Amino acid sequence: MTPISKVLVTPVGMACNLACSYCYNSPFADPLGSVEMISVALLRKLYEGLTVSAAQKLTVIWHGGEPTLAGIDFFASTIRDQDVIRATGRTVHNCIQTNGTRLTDDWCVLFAKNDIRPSLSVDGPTELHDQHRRDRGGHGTHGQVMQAIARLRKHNVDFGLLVVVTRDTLSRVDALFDWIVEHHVSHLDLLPCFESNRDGQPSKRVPTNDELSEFFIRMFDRWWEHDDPTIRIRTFQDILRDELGGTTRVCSWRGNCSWIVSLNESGRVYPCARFHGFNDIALGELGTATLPDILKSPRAIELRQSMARGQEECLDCRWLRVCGGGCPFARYATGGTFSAPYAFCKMRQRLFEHIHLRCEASRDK
Amino acid sequence: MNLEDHVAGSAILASIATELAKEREQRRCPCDDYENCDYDNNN
Repeated sequence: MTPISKVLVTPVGMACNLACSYCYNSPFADPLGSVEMISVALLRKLYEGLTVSAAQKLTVIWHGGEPTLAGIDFFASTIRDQDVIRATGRTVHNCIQTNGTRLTDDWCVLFAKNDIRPSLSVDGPTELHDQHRRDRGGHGTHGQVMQAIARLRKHNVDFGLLVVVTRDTLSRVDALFDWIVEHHVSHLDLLPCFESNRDGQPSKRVPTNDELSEFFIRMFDRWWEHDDPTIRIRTFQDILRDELGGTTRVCSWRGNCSWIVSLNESGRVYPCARFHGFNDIALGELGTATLPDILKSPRAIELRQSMARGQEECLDCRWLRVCGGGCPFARYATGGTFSAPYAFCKMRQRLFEHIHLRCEASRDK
Repeated sequence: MNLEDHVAGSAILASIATELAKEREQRRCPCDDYENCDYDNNN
Protein backbone atom coordinates (compact mmCIF):
# COMPACT_ATOMS: atom_id res chain seq x y z
CA MET A 1 0.00 0.00 0.00
CA THR A 2 1.16 3.54 -0.76
CA PRO A 3 2.38 5.25 2.40
CA ILE A 4 0.11 8.04 3.55
CA SER A 5 1.67 11.43 2.81
CA LYS A 6 -1.30 13.68 3.44
CA VAL A 7 -3.67 13.65 6.37
CA LEU A 8 -6.75 15.80 6.46
CA VAL A 9 -8.26 16.58 9.84
CA THR A 10 -11.47 18.48 10.57
CA PRO A 11 -10.91 19.46 14.21
CA VAL A 12 -14.34 21.06 14.61
CA GLY A 13 -16.16 19.08 11.96
CA MET A 14 -18.31 21.19 9.65
CA ALA A 15 -18.79 24.00 12.18
CA CYS A 16 -18.15 27.39 10.64
CA ASN A 17 -18.66 31.05 11.47
CA LEU A 18 -19.72 31.81 7.90
CA ALA A 19 -22.71 30.79 5.83
CA CYS A 20 -21.39 30.78 2.26
CA SER A 21 -24.14 30.18 -0.25
CA TYR A 22 -22.32 27.42 -2.11
CA CYS A 23 -20.80 25.52 0.80
CA TYR A 24 -20.78 21.81 0.06
CA ASN A 25 -20.75 21.17 3.77
CA SER A 26 -24.01 22.98 4.42
CA PRO A 27 -26.21 19.87 4.21
CA PHE A 28 -24.18 18.43 7.08
CA ALA A 29 -23.16 21.58 8.92
CA ASP A 30 -23.72 21.93 12.62
CA PRO A 31 -24.92 25.26 13.90
CA LEU A 32 -22.35 27.25 15.81
CA GLY A 33 -22.79 26.69 19.51
CA SER A 34 -22.72 22.92 19.15
CA VAL A 35 -19.09 22.69 18.05
CA GLU A 36 -17.70 19.22 18.64
CA MET A 37 -13.94 19.32 19.06
CA ILE A 38 -11.74 16.42 18.15
CA SER A 39 -10.13 14.88 21.23
CA VAL A 40 -6.45 15.05 22.04
CA ALA A 41 -6.49 11.27 22.53
CA LEU A 42 -7.75 10.65 18.98
CA LEU A 43 -5.13 12.92 17.49
CA ARG A 44 -2.36 11.25 19.48
CA LYS A 45 -3.59 7.89 18.22
CA LEU A 46 -3.54 9.25 14.67
CA TYR A 47 0.05 10.49 15.07
CA GLU A 48 1.09 7.17 16.57
CA GLY A 49 -0.36 5.37 13.53
CA LEU A 50 1.53 7.68 11.21
CA THR A 51 4.84 6.68 12.76
CA VAL A 52 4.51 3.44 10.79
CA SER A 53 2.10 4.36 7.97
CA ALA A 54 3.39 7.69 6.77
CA ALA A 55 5.77 8.61 3.98
CA GLN A 56 9.01 10.29 4.98
CA LYS A 57 7.45 13.67 4.30
CA LEU A 58 4.01 14.11 5.75
CA THR A 59 1.56 16.97 5.48
CA VAL A 60 -1.29 17.48 7.91
CA ILE A 61 -4.02 19.66 6.45
CA TRP A 62 -6.44 21.21 8.91
CA HIS A 63 -9.78 21.67 7.30
CA GLY A 64 -13.40 22.26 8.12
CA GLY A 65 -15.83 23.91 8.49
CA GLU A 66 -13.57 26.58 9.87
CA PRO A 67 -10.64 24.94 11.68
CA THR A 68 -9.52 28.11 13.48
CA LEU A 69 -12.60 27.68 15.68
CA ALA A 70 -10.48 25.08 17.49
CA GLY A 71 -8.34 27.93 18.85
CA ILE A 72 -4.67 28.88 18.88
CA ASP A 73 -3.84 26.84 21.98
CA PHE A 74 -5.25 23.70 20.37
CA PHE A 75 -2.95 24.04 17.37
CA ALA A 76 0.13 24.94 19.41
CA SER A 77 -0.42 21.85 21.54
CA THR A 78 -1.22 19.33 18.81
CA ILE A 79 1.75 20.41 16.70
CA ARG A 80 3.97 19.61 19.68
CA ASP A 81 2.27 16.20 19.85
CA GLN A 82 3.39 15.54 16.27
CA ASP A 83 6.93 15.24 17.60
CA VAL A 84 6.23 11.53 18.00
CA ILE A 85 6.21 11.34 14.18
CA ARG A 86 9.27 13.58 13.82
CA ALA A 87 11.12 11.31 16.24
CA THR A 88 11.02 8.60 13.54
CA GLY A 89 12.96 10.83 11.15
CA ARG A 90 9.90 11.93 9.21
CA THR A 91 9.18 15.57 8.49
CA VAL A 92 5.74 16.97 9.22
CA HIS A 93 4.32 20.10 7.63
CA ASN A 94 1.03 21.65 8.61
CA CYS A 95 -1.39 23.52 6.38
CA ILE A 96 -4.66 25.10 7.32
CA GLN A 97 -7.55 25.88 5.01
CA THR A 98 -9.37 28.88 6.43
CA ASN A 99 -11.91 31.50 5.47
CA GLY A 100 -9.46 34.05 6.88
CA THR A 101 -11.97 36.02 8.91
CA ARG A 102 -10.47 35.07 12.27
CA LEU A 103 -6.78 35.55 11.53
CA THR A 104 -5.40 37.93 14.11
CA ASP A 105 -1.73 38.80 14.62
CA ASP A 106 -1.57 35.99 17.18
CA TRP A 107 -2.60 33.46 14.54
CA CYS A 108 0.03 34.83 12.18
CA VAL A 109 2.68 34.47 14.88
CA LEU A 110 1.61 30.85 15.41
CA PHE A 111 1.85 30.19 11.67
CA ALA A 112 5.26 31.83 11.37
CA LYS A 113 6.68 30.11 14.42
CA ASN A 114 5.51 26.62 13.41
CA ASP A 115 5.88 26.92 9.63
CA ILE A 116 2.15 26.43 9.15
CA ARG A 117 1.02 27.33 5.67
CA PRO A 118 -2.45 28.83 5.49
CA SER A 119 -4.63 28.76 2.42
CA LEU A 120 -7.40 31.32 2.34
CA SER A 121 -10.68 31.10 0.52
CA VAL A 122 -11.07 34.29 -1.49
CA ASP A 123 -13.21 34.64 -4.56
CA GLY A 124 -11.42 37.67 -6.03
CA PRO A 125 -12.73 41.23 -6.08
CA THR A 126 -15.12 42.45 -3.39
CA GLU A 127 -18.33 42.12 -5.36
CA LEU A 128 -17.59 38.55 -6.45
CA HIS A 129 -16.47 37.44 -3.00
CA ASP A 130 -19.26 39.09 -1.05
CA GLN A 131 -21.92 37.70 -3.33
CA HIS A 132 -21.46 34.24 -1.81
CA ARG A 133 -19.02 34.42 1.10
CA ARG A 134 -21.06 36.00 3.87
CA ASP A 135 -21.25 35.71 7.61
CA ARG A 136 -24.26 34.41 9.44
CA GLY A 137 -25.71 37.92 9.54
CA GLY A 138 -25.58 38.08 5.75
CA HIS A 139 -22.65 40.52 5.63
CA GLY A 140 -19.83 40.21 3.11
CA THR A 141 -16.45 39.11 4.45
CA HIS A 142 -14.07 40.44 1.81
CA GLY A 143 -12.75 43.27 3.97
CA GLN A 144 -11.87 40.91 6.81
CA VAL A 145 -10.08 38.51 4.49
CA MET A 146 -8.03 41.26 2.86
CA GLN A 147 -6.99 42.42 6.34
CA ALA A 148 -5.91 38.87 7.08
CA ILE A 149 -3.80 38.82 3.91
CA ALA A 150 -2.13 42.05 4.98
CA ARG A 151 -1.37 40.56 8.41
CA LEU A 152 0.08 37.39 6.91
CA ARG A 153 2.37 39.47 4.73
CA LYS A 154 3.40 41.60 7.71
CA HIS A 155 4.48 38.43 9.50
CA ASN A 156 6.15 36.98 6.38
CA VAL A 157 3.84 33.99 6.31
CA ASP A 158 3.66 32.28 2.92
CA PHE A 159 0.09 31.55 1.93
CA GLY A 160 -2.08 30.47 -0.96
CA LEU A 161 -5.56 31.34 -2.12
CA LEU A 162 -8.37 29.18 -3.39
CA VAL A 163 -10.96 30.82 -5.62
CA VAL A 164 -14.31 29.13 -6.16
CA VAL A 165 -15.64 29.65 -9.67
CA THR A 166 -19.40 30.01 -9.79
CA ARG A 167 -21.67 31.13 -12.62
CA ASP A 168 -21.20 34.65 -11.28
CA THR A 169 -17.45 34.47 -11.89
CA LEU A 170 -17.78 33.57 -15.56
CA SER A 171 -18.42 37.03 -16.92
CA ARG A 172 -15.83 38.57 -14.57
CA VAL A 173 -12.81 36.62 -15.70
CA ASP A 174 -10.83 39.73 -16.63
CA ALA A 175 -11.75 41.48 -13.38
CA LEU A 176 -10.59 38.40 -11.48
CA PHE A 177 -7.27 38.19 -13.29
CA ASP A 178 -6.66 41.92 -12.86
CA TRP A 179 -7.35 41.50 -9.14
CA ILE A 180 -4.81 38.65 -8.95
CA VAL A 181 -2.17 40.83 -10.59
CA GLU A 182 -3.05 43.94 -8.58
CA HIS A 183 -2.67 42.06 -5.30
CA HIS A 184 0.21 40.00 -6.59
CA VAL A 185 -1.21 36.68 -5.49
CA SER A 186 1.70 34.29 -5.79
CA HIS A 187 -0.06 30.94 -5.26
CA LEU A 188 -3.65 30.23 -6.09
CA ASP A 189 -5.99 27.82 -7.70
CA LEU A 190 -9.38 28.08 -9.35
CA LEU A 191 -11.92 25.52 -8.23
CA PRO A 192 -15.18 24.99 -10.08
CA CYS A 193 -18.12 25.29 -7.72
CA PHE A 194 -19.26 21.82 -6.94
CA GLU A 195 -22.24 21.47 -4.70
CA SER A 196 -22.74 17.91 -3.66
CA ASN A 197 -26.35 18.03 -2.72
CA ARG A 198 -27.72 14.74 -1.57
CA ASP A 199 -30.05 14.58 -4.55
CA GLY A 200 -27.02 14.65 -6.83
CA GLN A 201 -28.37 17.55 -8.84
CA PRO A 202 -26.10 20.54 -9.48
CA SER A 203 -27.42 23.84 -8.20
CA LYS A 204 -27.90 26.86 -10.44
CA ARG A 205 -24.57 28.22 -9.15
CA VAL A 206 -22.63 25.36 -10.75
CA PRO A 207 -21.34 26.32 -14.20
CA THR A 208 -21.70 23.95 -17.13
CA ASN A 209 -18.70 22.34 -18.83
CA ASP A 210 -18.99 24.75 -21.75
CA GLU A 211 -19.12 27.76 -19.45
CA LEU A 212 -16.17 26.55 -17.43
CA SER A 213 -14.17 25.80 -20.57
CA GLU A 214 -14.57 29.36 -21.79
CA PHE A 215 -13.66 30.70 -18.36
CA PHE A 216 -10.55 28.58 -17.88
CA ILE A 217 -9.31 29.16 -21.42
CA ARG A 218 -9.71 32.92 -21.09
CA MET A 219 -8.00 32.87 -17.69
CA PHE A 220 -5.15 30.76 -19.04
CA ASP A 221 -4.66 33.09 -21.97
CA ARG A 222 -4.50 36.13 -19.68
CA TRP A 223 -2.00 34.38 -17.41
CA TRP A 224 0.09 33.04 -20.30
CA GLU A 225 0.31 36.40 -21.99
CA HIS A 226 1.06 38.19 -18.72
CA ASP A 227 3.91 35.67 -18.39
CA ASP A 228 4.86 36.32 -14.78
CA PRO A 229 6.20 33.07 -13.27
CA THR A 230 5.82 34.48 -9.75
CA ILE A 231 2.04 34.21 -10.15
CA ARG A 232 1.44 30.48 -9.92
CA ILE A 233 -2.01 29.19 -10.83
CA ARG A 234 -1.85 25.57 -9.80
CA THR A 235 -4.16 24.04 -12.42
CA PHE A 236 -2.24 25.68 -15.25
CA GLN A 237 1.13 24.92 -13.69
CA ASP A 238 0.24 21.25 -13.51
CA ILE A 239 -0.90 21.01 -17.12
CA LEU A 240 2.31 22.73 -18.24
CA ARG A 241 4.37 20.37 -16.08
CA ASP A 242 2.86 17.54 -18.08
CA GLU A 243 3.60 19.35 -21.34
CA LEU A 244 7.25 19.48 -20.29
CA GLY A 245 7.39 15.82 -19.38
CA GLY A 246 6.81 16.17 -15.64
CA THR A 247 4.11 14.77 -13.44
CA THR A 248 1.04 16.50 -12.09
CA ARG A 249 0.80 17.17 -8.39
CA VAL A 250 -2.75 18.02 -7.39
CA CYS A 251 -4.67 15.17 -5.79
CA SER A 252 -7.76 15.48 -7.99
CA TRP A 253 -5.53 14.80 -11.01
CA ARG A 254 -4.43 11.43 -9.73
CA GLY A 255 -7.68 9.50 -9.96
CA ASN A 256 -7.34 7.89 -6.56
CA CYS A 257 -6.81 8.90 -2.96
CA SER A 258 -4.39 6.16 -1.99
CA TRP A 259 -1.85 8.41 -0.26
CA ILE A 260 -4.44 10.49 1.59
CA VAL A 261 -6.47 9.78 4.66
CA SER A 262 -8.92 11.97 6.51
CA LEU A 263 -10.14 12.05 10.09
CA ASN A 264 -13.27 13.78 11.31
CA GLU A 265 -13.91 15.22 14.76
CA SER A 266 -15.48 12.04 16.12
CA GLY A 267 -12.70 9.72 14.94
CA ARG A 268 -14.21 8.42 11.72
CA VAL A 269 -11.64 7.78 9.00
CA TYR A 270 -12.37 8.54 5.33
CA PRO A 271 -10.34 8.46 2.09
CA CYS A 272 -10.66 12.27 1.90
CA ALA A 273 -12.39 15.09 3.79
CA ARG A 274 -14.72 15.54 0.87
CA PHE A 275 -16.39 12.27 1.88
CA HIS A 276 -17.16 13.41 5.43
CA GLY A 277 -20.84 12.84 5.94
CA PHE A 278 -20.88 9.99 3.40
CA ASN A 279 -20.90 7.21 5.96
CA ASP A 280 -21.02 4.50 3.31
CA ILE A 281 -17.51 5.58 2.32
CA ALA A 282 -16.01 5.59 5.82
CA LEU A 283 -12.96 3.34 6.25
CA GLY A 284 -13.28 2.78 9.99
CA GLU A 285 -13.24 4.27 13.47
CA LEU A 286 -9.99 5.38 15.02
CA GLY A 287 -11.58 5.04 18.44
CA THR A 288 -11.72 1.25 18.09
CA ALA A 289 -8.90 0.41 15.66
CA THR A 290 -5.41 1.58 14.84
CA LEU A 291 -4.69 3.59 11.70
CA PRO A 292 -2.52 0.86 10.12
CA ASP A 293 -5.28 -1.70 10.70
CA ILE A 294 -7.88 0.60 9.16
CA LEU A 295 -5.73 1.30 6.12
CA LYS A 296 -5.12 -2.37 5.39
CA SER A 297 -8.68 -3.48 6.14
CA PRO A 298 -10.69 -5.24 3.40
CA ARG A 299 -12.99 -2.24 3.34
CA ALA A 300 -10.14 0.17 2.58
CA ILE A 301 -8.68 -2.11 -0.08
CA GLU A 302 -12.07 -2.53 -1.73
CA LEU A 303 -12.66 1.21 -1.83
CA ARG A 304 -9.30 1.94 -3.36
CA GLN A 305 -9.85 -0.75 -5.96
CA SER A 306 -13.25 0.76 -6.77
CA MET A 307 -11.62 4.15 -7.28
CA ALA A 308 -9.02 2.61 -9.57
CA ARG A 309 -11.73 0.87 -11.59
CA GLY A 310 -13.33 4.29 -12.12
CA GLN A 311 -10.36 5.24 -14.26
CA GLU A 312 -11.03 2.35 -16.62
CA GLU A 313 -13.75 4.41 -18.29
CA CYS A 314 -11.05 6.82 -19.40
CA LEU A 315 -8.45 4.39 -20.76
CA ASP A 316 -8.97 5.55 -24.34
CA CYS A 317 -8.67 9.23 -23.48
CA ARG A 318 -5.44 10.88 -24.62
CA TRP A 319 -5.50 13.10 -21.53
CA LEU A 320 -5.73 10.35 -18.91
CA ARG A 321 -2.04 10.76 -18.10
CA VAL A 322 -2.51 14.34 -16.97
CA CYS A 323 -6.11 14.18 -15.73
CA GLY A 324 -6.16 10.88 -13.87
CA GLY A 325 -9.83 10.49 -14.73
CA GLY A 326 -11.05 13.13 -12.32
CA CYS A 327 -11.60 13.40 -8.60
CA PRO A 328 -13.12 10.18 -7.22
CA PHE A 329 -15.30 12.19 -4.87
CA ALA A 330 -16.80 14.17 -7.74
CA ARG A 331 -17.54 10.93 -9.57
CA TYR A 332 -19.16 9.39 -6.54
CA ALA A 333 -21.13 12.45 -5.47
CA THR A 334 -22.77 12.90 -8.84
CA GLY A 335 -23.24 9.29 -9.88
CA GLY A 336 -23.25 7.25 -6.70
CA THR A 337 -20.35 5.17 -7.99
CA PHE A 338 -16.65 5.71 -8.70
CA SER A 339 -17.28 4.63 -12.29
CA ALA A 340 -19.66 7.54 -12.91
CA PRO A 341 -18.53 10.15 -15.45
CA TYR A 342 -16.39 12.94 -14.06
CA ALA A 343 -18.53 16.08 -13.90
CA PHE A 344 -15.92 18.38 -15.45
CA CYS A 345 -14.51 15.92 -18.01
CA LYS A 346 -15.42 17.94 -21.11
CA MET A 347 -14.09 21.14 -19.58
CA ARG A 348 -10.78 19.50 -18.79
CA GLN A 349 -10.45 18.03 -22.28
CA ARG A 350 -10.99 21.42 -23.92
CA LEU A 351 -8.55 23.10 -21.56
CA PHE A 352 -5.85 20.46 -22.11
CA GLU A 353 -6.25 20.76 -25.87
CA HIS A 354 -6.07 24.54 -25.75
CA ILE A 355 -2.97 24.62 -23.59
CA HIS A 356 -1.30 21.96 -25.69
CA LEU A 357 -1.92 23.98 -28.84
CA ARG A 358 -0.61 27.16 -27.25
CA CYS A 359 2.56 25.35 -26.23
CA GLU A 360 2.94 23.95 -29.74
CA ALA A 361 2.50 27.43 -31.19
CA SER A 362 5.07 28.80 -28.78
CA ARG A 363 7.52 26.08 -29.79
CA ASP A 364 7.03 26.72 -33.49
CA LYS A 365 7.78 30.45 -33.24
CA MET B 1 13.40 19.98 -30.35
CA ASN B 2 15.10 20.21 -26.98
CA LEU B 3 13.66 21.63 -23.77
CA GLU B 4 15.48 24.94 -24.12
CA ASP B 5 13.80 25.54 -27.46
CA HIS B 6 10.49 24.50 -26.00
CA VAL B 7 10.55 27.07 -23.24
CA ALA B 8 12.15 29.89 -25.22
CA GLY B 9 10.10 33.05 -25.06
CA SER B 10 8.00 32.00 -22.10
CA ALA B 11 9.13 32.92 -18.60
CA ILE B 12 6.40 30.68 -17.21
CA LEU B 13 7.59 27.62 -19.12
CA ALA B 14 11.20 28.35 -18.30
CA SER B 15 10.33 28.54 -14.60
CA ILE B 16 8.48 25.22 -14.70
CA ALA B 17 11.34 23.57 -16.60
CA THR B 18 13.72 24.75 -13.87
CA GLU B 19 11.39 23.37 -11.21
CA LEU B 20 11.24 19.98 -12.95
CA ALA B 21 15.01 19.87 -13.35
CA LYS B 22 15.46 20.52 -9.63
CA GLU B 23 13.01 17.77 -8.76
CA ARG B 24 14.88 15.31 -10.97
CA GLU B 25 18.21 16.37 -9.56
CA GLN B 26 16.99 15.90 -6.01
CA ARG B 27 15.00 12.78 -6.98
CA ARG B 28 12.14 14.46 -5.19
CA CYS B 29 8.55 13.36 -5.52
CA PRO B 30 6.30 16.27 -6.47
CA CYS B 31 3.81 15.01 -3.90
CA ASP B 32 6.28 16.24 -1.31
CA ASP B 33 5.24 19.80 -2.06
CA TYR B 34 2.89 20.32 0.77
CA GLU B 35 0.72 22.84 -0.97
CA ASN B 36 -0.47 20.38 -3.53
CA CYS B 37 -3.48 18.69 -2.19
CA ASP B 38 -6.53 20.56 -3.32
CA TYR B 39 -9.34 18.60 -1.65
CA ASP B 40 -11.60 20.95 -3.57
CA ASN B 41 -12.49 23.75 -1.34
CA ASN B 42 -15.95 25.18 -1.60
CA ASN B 43 -15.97 26.19 1.99
